Amino acid sequence: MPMRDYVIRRLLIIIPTFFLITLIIFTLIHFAPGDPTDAMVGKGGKLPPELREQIRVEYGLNQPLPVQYLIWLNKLLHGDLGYSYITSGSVLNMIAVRIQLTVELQLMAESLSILIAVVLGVIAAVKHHSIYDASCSVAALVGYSTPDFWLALILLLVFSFWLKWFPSSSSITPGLTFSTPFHALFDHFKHMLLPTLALVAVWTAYLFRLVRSAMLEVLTQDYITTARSKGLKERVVIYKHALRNALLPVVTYVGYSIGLLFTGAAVIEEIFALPGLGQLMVERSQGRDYPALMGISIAIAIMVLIANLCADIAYAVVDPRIRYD
Amino acid sequence: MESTKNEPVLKIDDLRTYFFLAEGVVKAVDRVSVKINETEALGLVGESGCGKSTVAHSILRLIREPGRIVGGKVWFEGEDLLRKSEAEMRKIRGGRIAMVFQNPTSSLNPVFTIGSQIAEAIKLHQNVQKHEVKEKVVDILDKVGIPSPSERMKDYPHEFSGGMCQRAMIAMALSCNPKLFIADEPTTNLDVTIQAQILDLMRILRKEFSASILLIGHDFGVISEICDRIVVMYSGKVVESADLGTIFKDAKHPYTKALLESIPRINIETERLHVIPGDVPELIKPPSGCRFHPRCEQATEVCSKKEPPLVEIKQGHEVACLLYG
Amino acid sequence: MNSRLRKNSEGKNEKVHRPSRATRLFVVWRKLKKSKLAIAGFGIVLFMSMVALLSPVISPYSLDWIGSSRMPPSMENIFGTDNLGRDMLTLVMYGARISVYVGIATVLVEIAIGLSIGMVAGYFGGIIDEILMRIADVVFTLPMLMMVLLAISMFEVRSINTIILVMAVLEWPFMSRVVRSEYLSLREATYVEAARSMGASNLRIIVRHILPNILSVMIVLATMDIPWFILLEATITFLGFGDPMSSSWGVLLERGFPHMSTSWWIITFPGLALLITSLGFNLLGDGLRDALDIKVRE
Repeated sequence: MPMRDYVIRRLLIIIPTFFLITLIIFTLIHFAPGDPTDAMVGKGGKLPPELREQIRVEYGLNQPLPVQYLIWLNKLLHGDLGYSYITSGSVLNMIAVRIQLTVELQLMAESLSILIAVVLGVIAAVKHHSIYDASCSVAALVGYSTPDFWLALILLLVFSFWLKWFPSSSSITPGLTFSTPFHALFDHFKHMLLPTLALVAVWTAYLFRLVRSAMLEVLTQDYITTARSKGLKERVVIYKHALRNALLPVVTYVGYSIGLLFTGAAVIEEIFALPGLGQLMVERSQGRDYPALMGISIAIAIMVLIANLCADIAYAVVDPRIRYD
Repeated sequence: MESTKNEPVLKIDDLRTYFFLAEGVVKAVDRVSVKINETEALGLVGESGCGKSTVAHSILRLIREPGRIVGGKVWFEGEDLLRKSEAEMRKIRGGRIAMVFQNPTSSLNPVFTIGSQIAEAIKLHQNVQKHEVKEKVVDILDKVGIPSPSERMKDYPHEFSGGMCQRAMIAMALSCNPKLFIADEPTTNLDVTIQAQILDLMRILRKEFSASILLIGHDFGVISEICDRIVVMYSGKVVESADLGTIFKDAKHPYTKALLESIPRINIETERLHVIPGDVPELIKPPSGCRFHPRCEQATEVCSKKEPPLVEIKQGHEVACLLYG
Repeated sequence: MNSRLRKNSEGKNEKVHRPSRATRLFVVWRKLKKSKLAIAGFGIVLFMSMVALLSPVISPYSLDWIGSSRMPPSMENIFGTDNLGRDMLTLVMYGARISVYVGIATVLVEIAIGLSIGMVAGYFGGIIDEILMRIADVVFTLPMLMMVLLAISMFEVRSINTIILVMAVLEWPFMSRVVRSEYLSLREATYVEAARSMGASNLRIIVRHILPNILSVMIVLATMDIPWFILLEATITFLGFGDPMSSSWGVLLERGFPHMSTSWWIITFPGLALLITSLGFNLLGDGLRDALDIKVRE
């Protein structure tokens, strides 16, 4: 089936998936023990029952659950994510402000990781059994076993506190004005480097192993022998014939691992005090701010779905066998 | 040096290709000498593991670690291929000598179209303009009997059946008019009806392209369809070589005779199929003396002590057996 | 060795030796021994488990011991002391108990859930399979941390066991999918067909032929999941959603974070412990996967 139909089919599957996700998120939040009104008044606050009831009616909490779900869903589809229990600000606004940083961090980390992993992984596979291969593999194994947030702490300790080379928090130096956009960008970059590195280290390790094992397997395939028997240069055999095939599992993995990247990013954001979506999620979870939590979860879920779609499309582009499902 | 009718196209002299494994050295090809003349079709026959494939790979120097060509000479067009540089070999591979392999579907790169893979070979070895390449591809696909070649060249290997893949492989090999065409068990993995078609095709193409053919296989029936001469290998060594008629009517080596007897014949009634007792020897520790002696009905004591040399007992008929020399 | 009698081609009875289960395990063990890295991994895992089990006995000080606070590593306190004066080495040793326990317990629950759901989906097929797998897909796609934070933030009481349960439950899609696809492909295997044609009942087929193969895949995955859960628990705890009573390595890191700039040893050693434990399990998992020759089917 041609590409267009494939994309349409994928999009059609996303829609029920999305609704299922909203249902799961809603259910998860609303089956929590404890009264949501507690969140609004904060712990230890005492509220007379009439006032509490008033709040419940106002927020629609007295309706049966399915109705609440539909109301919320309806609002959601209209772009209204509700208002935070805690700050009373629009959830949508909160998310919009924060999402940029998270996406930036993730994209940077992901791209850098892929680049390094592919280059190193191909070389390691080609030079199988060499010192280079062995040392890279061991390094990758160590990197992959490292807790990313601990690595962030160590980086912070060494490069920020001790060496003072990099700032330790937030995404730009507060209070400074910059003479040119370039300076602003450079300052921003200084702030983002350590967080990105913490993510990249662990990610590259995992991707490296993936690329290397994919390449090793591809290099044993018959069509590689055929390519050589045609008289192609070894470099062409590896980078054209082998790599294309080896990247297939990598593409799949990268696309579907956006969720994992978020896991790492949330903690990194906390440590480096970066005002991103992950950090927001952590904050709101502590405060049991349900509308915010639901909104953030939906936002994240949408990002993941989009990423998955891109991964599916990328995979179909790269592997002609897939379109003929 | 110009090759005349009397000068063989390919002359393998005392070839030795060993595999250096942790368990020991496997002498896959142990002093093998073979000759192929102009427009001749030579069949290389033997059981699995006898080294026939390794001979083919050695000609094109496609042997990779842990294997190595350790000695001998391979004369082609007046030069010893084993002395050539890698760059010179690349010109020969796919150009002057071309090869097709055993698993046609897995021998083609799944992510590239059939047409592009054939074009790749053409672009590499022939000096043609871009627009001519496409014509050539269509032309060669047509010659191997692929219907609607200009459409089908845009297909991917998984859209071709096994037989068609093999035709495409043959097309790729013949696209640059090689002097020597090596076919390593080209029909082994195809079913019988397709086998017959491919053999027919090869017969036709042989006339049209006037290349010499080296056909490798274990099935006498298949080999005899095309070949003029036959070389029988066992356990890394040549045991007999003669023209087709002589082999069938007057085979001398006990192994050859046993092989021929094992072919079930439709017009002779038997209760049990004739089998050669025992197993193919392990190439790491081959039997002493004549490698076939443990399974040979006519073996004598001297056979276990002395290795029989390849002796020409008649014009064009060589045998390596102590019964004859 | 199991031997059976069988009629050979000449009609005479012949003893046939079939490698028993013990022999198969032996072969796997031998393959495992060949890989130095796998041995190292096993060694590390063993070491950590010993530390965890024996910490009350081998720790230099008891948990109540208080010394001078914020002392850097020295002869008395090899890992230094934390902000309250507790010995870091002792804390790290005791932390092993919780962290290793978390890893193993979560994996066990995960296997139980994944095995049941996966087998159910595979065995019954049809609509049940479809629904389960759709839900699995969705849950699988959502970021684990997000789900865990959501789930945990709702519980009043944060105990280590709650965390284990939440993590294991949220991970079910992964294990179930693997179990299911292994089951499906094994079901179609030729030797299963052969067994069936000889009259073996479904149950017998499942237990004797399919289950052992599924188990070997699951063992590899489980080994590689253990470090994942240990790290996840540490992450969750570090973010403040953990069980402050549990003194796992994550708790140590959480407590140490504010004091990081003055006392680097407070976060370095617990983190190193996490790294080494993770490394051990990963090495072991790699080795197991190679030895059992597993290819995970998606």
